[in-house]
Amino acid sequence: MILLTGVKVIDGMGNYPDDNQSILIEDSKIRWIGKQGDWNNHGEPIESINLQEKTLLPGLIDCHVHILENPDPAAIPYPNPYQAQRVLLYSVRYARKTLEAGFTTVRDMMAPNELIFALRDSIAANEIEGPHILASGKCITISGGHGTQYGPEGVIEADGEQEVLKAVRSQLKAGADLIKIMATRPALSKPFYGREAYQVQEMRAGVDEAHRAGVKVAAHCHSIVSGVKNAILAGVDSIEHSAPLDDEAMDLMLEHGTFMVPTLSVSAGLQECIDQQLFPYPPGALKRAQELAEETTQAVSTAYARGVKIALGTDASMPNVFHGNNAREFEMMVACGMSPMDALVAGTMNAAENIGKENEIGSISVGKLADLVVVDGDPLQDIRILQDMNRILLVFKEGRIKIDRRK
Amino acid sequence: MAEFTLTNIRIIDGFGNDPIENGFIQIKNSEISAFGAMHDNSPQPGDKVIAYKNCTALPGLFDVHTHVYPSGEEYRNKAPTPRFAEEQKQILAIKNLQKHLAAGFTTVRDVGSENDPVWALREAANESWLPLPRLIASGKLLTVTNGHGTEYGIDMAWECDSLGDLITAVRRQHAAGADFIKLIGSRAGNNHPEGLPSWSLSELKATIKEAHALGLPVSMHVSGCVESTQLAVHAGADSIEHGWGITPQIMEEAARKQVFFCPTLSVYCNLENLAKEGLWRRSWEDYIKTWGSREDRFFEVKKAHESGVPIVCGTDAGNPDTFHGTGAIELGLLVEAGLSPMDAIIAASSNAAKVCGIQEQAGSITVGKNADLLIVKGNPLENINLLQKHALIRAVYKDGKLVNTV
Repeated sequence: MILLTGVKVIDGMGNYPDDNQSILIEDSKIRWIGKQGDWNNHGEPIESINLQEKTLLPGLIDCHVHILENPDPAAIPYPNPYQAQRVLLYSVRYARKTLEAGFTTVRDMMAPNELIFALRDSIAANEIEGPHILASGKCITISGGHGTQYGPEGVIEADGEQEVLKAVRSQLKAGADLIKIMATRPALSKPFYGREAYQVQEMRAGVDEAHRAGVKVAAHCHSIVSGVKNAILAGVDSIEHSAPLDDEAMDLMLEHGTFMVPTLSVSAGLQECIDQQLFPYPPGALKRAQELAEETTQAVSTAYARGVKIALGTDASMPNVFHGNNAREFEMMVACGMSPMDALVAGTMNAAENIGKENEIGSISVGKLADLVVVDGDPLQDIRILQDMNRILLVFKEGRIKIDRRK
Repeated sequence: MAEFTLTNIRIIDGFGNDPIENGFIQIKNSEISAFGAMHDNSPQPGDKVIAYKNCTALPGLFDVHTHVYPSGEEYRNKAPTPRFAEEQKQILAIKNLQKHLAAGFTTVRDVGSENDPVWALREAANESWLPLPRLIASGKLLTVTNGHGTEYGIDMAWECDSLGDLITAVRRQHAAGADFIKLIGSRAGNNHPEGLPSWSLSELKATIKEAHALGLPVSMHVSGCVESTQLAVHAGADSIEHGWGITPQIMEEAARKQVFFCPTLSVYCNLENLAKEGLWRRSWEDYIKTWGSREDRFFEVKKAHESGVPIVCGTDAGNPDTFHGTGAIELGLLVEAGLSPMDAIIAASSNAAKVCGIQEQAGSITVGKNADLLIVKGNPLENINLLQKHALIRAVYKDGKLVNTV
């Protein structure tokens, strides 16, 4: 048993923080939360950690990463006989960096099946350190659709309701935790920019099948608002990138309870690449990248004001969106007009609900997993401190200290 | 830490020189920039200093005979194979390698694995992409059809039955990026699992000549058949592994040629224990009849060492019960066999660096070499088994970077 004492608790559900709290961790779960001095351990051995002046957050959640991939735009992908083997080794390091930043759960949104499931399972078996991973494995896309430009291992090309249904079943059989579907064409890498990909009924077939299995569906959609609306109408649980939006799209999202995962970090990463003259797409795409950045900021501001549910996702491994720098997304959400508290909720309880884990994680509540982050300072005063590794003092995963930067 | 100095520490240099009882080691970037006895000018004011008390610095140690993919736990632990076992193997190899590093073994030689996975690991290790020991790897080994190395169901062996096969395999391994060639010098026959040599003297000579021409040292697994060990030494192998049954005559030639001898006492003893527990495929009596007794093993090591054959430390980690990171147990066994603690340390440092071909960069505390160091509490020269107690490890440095402190 571990007792954390004297700490300010930001519970992840949006409640005003409570000062001077004590949290009792037993085995892997949160057993008790209360006022300092109220817990009587009846003589049982207990490790007490004094966290005066520190803030406690639920373990942070990133709903959109690619944890096998290298975010460095200067890294040339080399055709290499042992690339798959190398990718697994890199991913171990990326997983560790993510955990070091206080992100205790991530959702991987495109990767070759066996590689990402192996990483997921190794972490779950405590063979190596990293966040809990929920993985889509391969994405489902139209023939020649988004994702195919990265090679065949990350996608299943499926056209028509039958094939989409089969693809969903095939992914679930392979061991996927969720289904990722590409509703629109890519924005930057190929012709057909900014066009719809799937028709509503194709996606509907996949969504219905996934929901029958109790599995969530996330749809990549941006650049064309009708494509976004198709995905919402098809019943997907979240739209990723999700810009531009219009009033009708937002109405639909409110009606269907669809989550928005804006991945603002992508724009920041691309702008940095542009500034360093390392823009990794054709020069013609540069203007489009900047437009998309504008559209996304607009979408977040408006959707937030309308009350659309927003969950945090960085799209880490897009150029300059580094694993371990996930907390930059909080800063960007606040820059769009979200309050620091709502930004935090996007990365905790909203994210947990988005990925279907609202009963296990996402808040500091009795009975939930003791996935916790101790921060030196108050992120509600300055959300940027979450990007400073020196201020992420402790990271607990399932009640055990995984990262310790005290002393 | 770009520059710092360890002070008030006993220094064992790895060559067998008398230890410096109260010394300092200065590290600049990734190298040892100075070391010696403490004196008025060391450390300089303004130097970053780490003062030790009652501790000994050794060169980072070497385990020169391992197989990095199996953990050694598979034999007893009959757990069902996980679903993504193939891919998880690569992740688990990281864990295995990290065990060596945590124990102060900063360089590991893999003597038989699939090519591509181990090249990727080696790159991650040697480019410090992951905190791993330096890795020297043979990749696939060369054996006869259905020979040792083919029984594991993975692509870790070239089956070579003629000189042509052998030369082709050597060239392929060279092209693939192997650091050295591993040959399985003995094969089944004469009513014994390794009762016959794999190839003839002329075949071996030509193969080893080709490997050497390509700049690759040759390590030969020889066991169970004295002739295979004899042929290995005659034909010019750079090191012999196991060598169970080695005779004084072979030792004399090996000493003359400075052929490195890796007796792998750990795996011998671990398999013997399994046989005693009734868990091995042979009874204990059978095991002794096939592979000889513990006394035989120890006697060989003692005699070889006395004859001047350079001994190196290798556990054969990956085999049943022979876990990664237990090189210190091998050192204990070498001492039990008759080496002095200092000689055992040489087997895991300067000798080991030579067998790995990296004696210019590592294997001793020498100015200009990589700052690979193991700092332990106490004096292993008084009791070599101290090195097995992880609680006594104060620090492990690889390339001047701290990898572990207690």
